[in-house]
Amino acid sequence: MSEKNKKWSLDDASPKAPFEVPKNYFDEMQHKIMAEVEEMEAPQKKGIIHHLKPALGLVASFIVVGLLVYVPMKMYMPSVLEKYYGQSQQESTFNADSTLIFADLDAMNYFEDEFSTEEIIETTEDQSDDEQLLNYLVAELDDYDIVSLTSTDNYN
Amino acid sequence: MDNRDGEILAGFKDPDKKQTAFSWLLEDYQERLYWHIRKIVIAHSDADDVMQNTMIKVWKSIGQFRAESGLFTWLYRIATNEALSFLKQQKRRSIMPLGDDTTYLLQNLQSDDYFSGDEIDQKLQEAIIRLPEKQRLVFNMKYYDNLKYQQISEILETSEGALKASYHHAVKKIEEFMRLNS
Repeated sequence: MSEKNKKWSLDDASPKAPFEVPKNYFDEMQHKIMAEVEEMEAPQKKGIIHHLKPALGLVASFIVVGLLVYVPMKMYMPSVLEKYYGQSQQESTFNADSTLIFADLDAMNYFEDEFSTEEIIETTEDQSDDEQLLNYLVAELDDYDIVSLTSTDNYN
Repeated sequence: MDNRDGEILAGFKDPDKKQTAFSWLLEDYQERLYWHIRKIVIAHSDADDVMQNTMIKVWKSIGQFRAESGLFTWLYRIATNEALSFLKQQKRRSIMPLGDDTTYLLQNLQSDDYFSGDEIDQKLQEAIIRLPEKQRLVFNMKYYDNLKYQQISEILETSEGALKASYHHAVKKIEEFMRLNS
């Protein structure tokens, strides 16, 4: 039987895989893997931006939606916008007026509670000038009442 | 399960000892797992990538280990799956014919800087690479790692009878290839 035809057997081979690794490979691999694991475990610092991100995203999306509506309307339907804003301005004027009206009503209520009708009529008729009014108020009211009357906070 | 495995697993249950337990696991198993992976993917650079992926997966999923099988079996199963997934990824990325990773592995065998064998060893590796996937896995685990059929059966989740048949076929094919190509 020639060498070529001799039956090859696994016994002829070494039962050791013919591979090798770089020097110190396993030591380095252990360090590398441990470093990766430590990095995964380290708590990640989260800044204020991270916490505000959802809120900021929501605000940004509202702005974008608003612009998507406002810009085309301003370009193609300016009359509608003008009409809407005109109405809004009227409403705000009304609101401002109504605030003043309610403030006046509060003041009237106060006078009605504190003074009789005769006193009020007498006082308003006698007011020939600011000095007289001031004198009257100083005589009749204490400091707290004066401050309360002049403060706008009382009317709100 | 031996005492050392028990110590490692107990360490993983204690958050303060988790990293120490992982370093013990690496000390005990990294070389065996590396060589197992290396025999599947052939090239050292690929084995290095797969090994890291394997160990990260082990770190992430050790909490799910239920000790139904031994730690060794569980680690080998993860390493095998990672290595086979790696080869599938390479197959998708390259222009190799569908279902054929033999070409990729043969190229790796030719170009690997860390191959230390002679011509016969190279032929033997070529013969192993040309085996069907299952036969290749069984042959490597039986012939080189000297694992018992029962262990291989647990790792590959295949019956011992089927594994014996696979090994027998693998040996026949390798001897035939070597006879024709030596």
